[in-house]
Amino acid sequence: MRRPIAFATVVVRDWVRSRSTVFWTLAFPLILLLVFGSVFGDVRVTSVRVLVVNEDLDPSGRPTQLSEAFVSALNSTGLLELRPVEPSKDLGEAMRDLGVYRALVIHRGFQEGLIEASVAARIDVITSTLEYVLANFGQSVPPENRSMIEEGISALRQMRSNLRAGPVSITFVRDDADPSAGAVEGVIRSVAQAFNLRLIGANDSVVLDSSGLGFRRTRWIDLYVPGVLMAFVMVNGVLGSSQMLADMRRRRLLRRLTITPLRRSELLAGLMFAHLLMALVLTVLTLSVGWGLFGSSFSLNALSAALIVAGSLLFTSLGLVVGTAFKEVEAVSAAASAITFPMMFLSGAVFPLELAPPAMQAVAKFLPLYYLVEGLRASGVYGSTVSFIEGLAVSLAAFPVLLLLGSVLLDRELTT
Amino acid sequence: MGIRNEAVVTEELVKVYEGGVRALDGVSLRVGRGEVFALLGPNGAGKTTLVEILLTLRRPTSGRAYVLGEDVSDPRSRSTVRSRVGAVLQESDSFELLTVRETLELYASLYGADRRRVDELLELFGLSGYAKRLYGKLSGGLKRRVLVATALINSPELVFLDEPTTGLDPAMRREVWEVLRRMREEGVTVFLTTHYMEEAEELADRVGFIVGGRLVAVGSPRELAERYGGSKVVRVSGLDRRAAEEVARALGDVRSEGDGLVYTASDQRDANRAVQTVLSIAPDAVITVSNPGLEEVFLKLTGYRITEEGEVA
Ligand SMILES: Nc1ncnc2c1ncn2[C@@H]1O[C@H](COP(=O)(O)OP(=O)(O)OP(=O)(O)O)[C@@H](O)[C@H]1O
Ligand SMILES: [Mg+2]
Repeated sequence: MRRPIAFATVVVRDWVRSRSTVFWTLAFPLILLLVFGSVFGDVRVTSVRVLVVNEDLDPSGRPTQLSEAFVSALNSTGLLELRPVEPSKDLGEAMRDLGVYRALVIHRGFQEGLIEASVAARIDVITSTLEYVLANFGQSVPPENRSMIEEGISALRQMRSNLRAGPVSITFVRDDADPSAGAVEGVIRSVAQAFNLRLIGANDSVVLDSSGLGFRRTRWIDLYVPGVLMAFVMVNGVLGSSQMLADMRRRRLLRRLTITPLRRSELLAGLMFAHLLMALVLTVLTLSVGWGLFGSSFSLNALSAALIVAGSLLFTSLGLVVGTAFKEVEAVSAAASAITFPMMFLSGAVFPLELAPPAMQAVAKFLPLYYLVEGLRASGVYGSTVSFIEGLAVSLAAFPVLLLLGSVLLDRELTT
Repeated sequence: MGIRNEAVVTEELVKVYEGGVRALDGVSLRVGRGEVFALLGPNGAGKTTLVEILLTLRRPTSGRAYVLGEDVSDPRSRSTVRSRVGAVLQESDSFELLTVRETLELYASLYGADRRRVDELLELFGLSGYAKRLYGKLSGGLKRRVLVATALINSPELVFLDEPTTGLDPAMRREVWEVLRRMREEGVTVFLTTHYMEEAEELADRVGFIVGGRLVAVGSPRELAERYGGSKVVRVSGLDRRAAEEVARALGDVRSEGDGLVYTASDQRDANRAVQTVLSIAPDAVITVSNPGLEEVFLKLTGYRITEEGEVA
């Protein structure tokens, strides 16, 4: 134990004292987190412009109460910058004038429809409650009461069938070539859903899904925190260990250490252990910023912790291979960057894959980081084990292979 | 056999590299315990190859090599050899971002050496004042001192120093020599390689000349000088150009060295005759007569001199 720890101490000291480390492992991830956090996480940032045509006017020509409320709910997400357009105007003309080719049209009858829908929803809640009682406690209900309830249910059904229960009448006019149209539609859809629920009072605890870009219920910042975290465990593992090894070789330190009692396996254990410690520091820092500044919902549980450990081992051993496969320090740096940066973006760690072209989404499936990030999101954000298992499996399969390859390459370098 | 009692023994050692370079071509050598041995040779002579074989870092193509009685080709003796020797590898360096003390402590932990040994070496090599400095911020001479100190952390019986002063300016080189002399006082066997004649003369008990992978001569500087050097060297300086040309013509076999001339006399009588010849041409000439050094030996053996950069000329 003494020798691996002695070497791990060197790696950690080297890491702590090197300036590029501070950038790659602290500054850069935090910058990314701050950028993503404030663009996608902070609800006060307006980004996408959308025209709003409100045709639902009361007899005096003013917008109805509920249509106004809906517009202000959309506004409060902070994700859309709404531009009102007079319903009397031609929409196509307005689009050209303002240069905005996205519009939300709230049709006449919106308020009326919503009220009806809200009544219908209340009726649904009551009928299903009554049905539930009958189905489960039917035996203990006296027969006369029972038939009363049954009659009540059929009366409610009758009422319900006379109400409009379809979706509220709004239309999203979009240009098919508009890349952000899908995201905007997602925001509108989730606001409408939350709006409905709130309106009928079914569930007050439902929060407006303010960052419903794409079609997720979670906010993007919740997904960025694990993404950025795993991406930087990767960057640190691959760049850090390959640079360290290349530099040691340049200084003949690998040879120098070979003639001490430090065994190859002890050197590798020390390297892995040091990177594990760094991954831990990185985790604490990233999560503190995520929690403190953005109220990230990520939770560090046994599953997410296991994935961070697995990721650190996997990427440190990848760094070992990169660091020993090339002779020149420059070649090692070039290879390490050529692996880490594309992987960071292509794997969906710091860029929403949902908004990426299909080809890129397909590439992601070949990158280990993709599985680890998905696994970390699943375990840390949703508390789910599905992608967790894939992430763990990918690491456990790749880690020993890379470690073995790396130590063979190291041997080749040291004995001739 | 004597193998057990010697620090280093090689027998007909041959190393042929993958590309076909014959770096060692039948080297047989003995280095006794407690000796300071200098392997002298120009660039590419095979010095590093020999040292790395002795350090178990390379395998010989054929022949045998024993270090402290252990056969270096035997994988089982590898760890024994490694734990009993110390080394400064050629052009080796250390972790830039560790302090001097941390560097020594690292090696102390790797060998399981006492922490007191660290203080002892800092003291011995005059490094105590630099203990908290980062290695990367030290001057070249101090860096070498640190490297030599790391080679001694396990109190080795034998230390290999592969060109420990190459690339240093003369003042720094002397600094390192000072350190090496202290090492010698500790009773450590030193196996040193160099292409500086002066370094071998200053430090070594015995010298081996290696050229093209072959050991061409081995002995104490004095023995070698007596055997190969011619008996006296006459150095003449303070001549103007015309006088220099005339002296060269009169003495015949001279070479220039710096702004003077050097004549190798066959005996004292020949030296006296040369001095008289020079004085008759230039009465103000500055003349010194000395015993020959390694430079003359090497010249005699190979017909070459080794430049400051280690090239043959
Ligand atoms: N790994 C190698 N592969 C192939 N040839 C090599 C290798 N290492 C050294 N050589 C060659 O072997 C010969 C001896 O090299 P070596 O490094 O042992 O010489 P040296 O005396 O230490 O020289 P220097 O003073 O330049 O350090 C040289 O011709 C060199 O080019
Ligand atoms: Mg050499």
